[in-house]
Amino acid sequence: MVDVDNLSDAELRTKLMEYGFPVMPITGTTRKVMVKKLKLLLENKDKINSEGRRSLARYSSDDDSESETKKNRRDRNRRITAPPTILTSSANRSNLRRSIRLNDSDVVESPRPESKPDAKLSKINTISSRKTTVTTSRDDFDTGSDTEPEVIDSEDNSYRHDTSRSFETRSDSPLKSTVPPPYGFLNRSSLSPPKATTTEIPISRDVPSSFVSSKPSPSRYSSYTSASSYSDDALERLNQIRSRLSLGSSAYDKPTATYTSSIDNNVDEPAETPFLSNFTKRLSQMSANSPKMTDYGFKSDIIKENDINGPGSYTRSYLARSGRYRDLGSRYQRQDSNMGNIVRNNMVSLAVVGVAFLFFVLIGVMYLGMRSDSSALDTAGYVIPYCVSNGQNSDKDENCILDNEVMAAITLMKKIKPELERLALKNRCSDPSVKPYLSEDDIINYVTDTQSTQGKRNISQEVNNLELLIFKNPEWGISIVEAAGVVTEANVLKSMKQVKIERALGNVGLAVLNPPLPWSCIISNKLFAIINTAVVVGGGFLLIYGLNFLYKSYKQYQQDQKDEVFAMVERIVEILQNHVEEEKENNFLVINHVRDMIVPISDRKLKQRTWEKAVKFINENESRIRTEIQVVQGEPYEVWRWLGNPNMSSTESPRNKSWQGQAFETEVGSMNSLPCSPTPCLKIRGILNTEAILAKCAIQCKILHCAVDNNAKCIYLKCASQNDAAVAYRNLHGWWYAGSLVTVKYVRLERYMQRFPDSPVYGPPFLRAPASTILT
Amino acid sequence: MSSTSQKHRNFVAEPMGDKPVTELAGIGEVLGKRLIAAGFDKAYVVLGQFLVLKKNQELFQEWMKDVCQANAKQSNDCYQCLHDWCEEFL
Repeated sequence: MVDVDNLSDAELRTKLMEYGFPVMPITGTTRKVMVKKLKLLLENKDKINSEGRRSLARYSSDDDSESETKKNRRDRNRRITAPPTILTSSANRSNLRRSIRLNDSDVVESPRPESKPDAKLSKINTISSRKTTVTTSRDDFDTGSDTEPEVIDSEDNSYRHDTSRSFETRSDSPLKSTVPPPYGFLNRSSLSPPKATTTEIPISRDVPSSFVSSKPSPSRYSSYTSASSYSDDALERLNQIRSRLSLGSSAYDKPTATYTSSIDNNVDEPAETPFLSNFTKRLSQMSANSPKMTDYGFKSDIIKENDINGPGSYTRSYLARSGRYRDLGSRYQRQDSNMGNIVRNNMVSLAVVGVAFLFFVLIGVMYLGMRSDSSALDTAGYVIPYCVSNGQNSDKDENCILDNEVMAAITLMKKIKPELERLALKNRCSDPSVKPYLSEDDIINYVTDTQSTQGKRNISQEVNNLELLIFKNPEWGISIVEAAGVVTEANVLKSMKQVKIERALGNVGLAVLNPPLPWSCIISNKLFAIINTAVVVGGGFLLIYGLNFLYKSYKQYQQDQKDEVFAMVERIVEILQNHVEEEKENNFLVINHVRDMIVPISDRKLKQRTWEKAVKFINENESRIRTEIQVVQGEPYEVWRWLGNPNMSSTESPRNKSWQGQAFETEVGSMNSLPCSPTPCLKIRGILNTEAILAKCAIQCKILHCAVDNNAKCIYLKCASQNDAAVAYRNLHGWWYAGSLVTVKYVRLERYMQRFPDSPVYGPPFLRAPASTILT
Repeated sequence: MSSTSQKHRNFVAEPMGDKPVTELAGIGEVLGKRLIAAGFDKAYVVLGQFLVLKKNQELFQEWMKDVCQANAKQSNDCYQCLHDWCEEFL
């Protein structure tokens, strides 16, 4: 903005003054600091401005679109319209903006053919269309018609809205123009001067007027109404803009302002303020009288059009107008891009959510898959290793099965499987003592029990075949186990060979290791497990709590004991002290008598231990009491003799209440005392004892008055003359008294008299040092 | 501030006379050297700067930071010291 470092001292000063900073001398040493300060102020100013800019964008975009040649102006506006939160580099931003604008111009093109006929229409009836502007504007302002809130609500969205509305109002216009209000006339009269001054063909004059009357009006009026309703706000903004523009002093504003002033008599602000922008004028005018302002806004727009376009520049003026919409549109677009930004910024979190979603979907699919494979038990589709004659793996009983025996084995399987499951269930759910398996003998017994048709040998052959099939078909869910003790995964037999070995020992069994458990069983099992854990955990907690409680109560007990001992010791000391006070010469007491005094008879046995502890404590830790043996009434007793505290008795600490020497030199000629005393009055800090002061200096000088100010913690002293005061000053200043440094300073006589009006003006009598201190 | 340092009290207790700059509260040997290097060799020169800055705390502290890299506490001590001295003697 401004190169602060290279400002001259004077400029720096004025700049600081501008920002309301107290002016300091700018010297070589202070310059750096002030420059820093100014920079800080400028930064703050910028921040404040950028906050206001968002709302200002509308106004500045008005000016912005007028001319393509005012590049610098444009740049500024670009900066202004940028929302402060976007922190991309400026180059990026402008590129983006430009592209957006290109898009917008495409969008803007579309309403053009529509508007052309309208423009022609208004060409035919120019006057009526102008009147409509005024009527609509008046509606917006005074009656607060239905259009107003609509416009305000759609503050920063679509210009489409605006345009459509503008067409609406135009179609309404003939009706309204039948009753032209006074503003219309006013407006027309103010319009006539530009007509007269500019030389152009009628088209160029009418077309812009129609545009002015229709399109821009809603947006501008809405902004005005909002400004008028929040007049404070508006004033604030006005100030901001003023300061900003007065710094910039754009070349653009000058001609317009002067032009309008030459044309218009209603304008209050003439050409003396060329640096104020159009808008600021408009605002200030509006605050003066609002209806006139609308005229002015309308008129100035026309003037601008005429000024810039020249004859027959319909398309140019239109483009200029569309530029304005471009800005509005760009704002609209930017909101869209903001949405894009939101998506981009939240990419990571969205990805995380997506991954989580996928994960759960996957789990769901897997779960469904798991549920679906439980229906695999059917007649067909078993893996059956038929025995082939002369085949290499045709060892019957070992790894193949004869054709005609297959069906028997499968029927056996189907027969015993429910039984196996029942057993497993019973074992798991109700009665753990039941064996969860059927040994081979059990199977044979079971089968023969149910249908005693086949021979034993036959059945054992079937069982063997079945076992073979079980190895080949693990999906049956039946396992061959060592039928001894608890059945787990560990003692499942892996091959037919193992089976043979185990069979020789007679403990081969079939079991269903993972039977389909009913819900009630699962729930009861879980509940049992939970309760089990809870009991264990609860027991643990209880144990910990109990231990803690025991520990605490033990501590408490110890503490109580200690307290009791201490209380007893204190009482002993007290008793001894009292005794010594009563009888000076006989300052000991028999220990047992003390005990008898303290402990009541009933408790004596109970408190024996406490007493012993107290005695021990006194012997070890009490220096004021000495234990010795004295003959009392013919008998030697252990006694306590009260020694008192001989060191600490009678005298106070030597530091107290005395002058402790001088901290620094105050003699005449020393730099610590003035060459001659200016007043006879002194104020003394660091001491509150007037006697000590009088004792110190009343002998050498004449003192009229001495008073303590307890609030300010100081002493006021008034001497007979200034020389006396100098003597007192030297005697008191820089001295240590009772551990604190005494400082003295002179007090003006009138101040002293103000404070102590009753103090004597002259002596004698003079104050004397107290008799006791003189002696010492 | 609840209490002041002994150095502060000593300085404020009397006119500063020709005291070196290190007598100021908050200015030790290091800062003193820097200040002397910058031309501020006596306490009254610093007082002059203090007065030129119109006893403005912010600016004085800023200046201290600038001229001898004093930290906030040191510059605040020094400021308090000069301020109290002025109250007493100016």
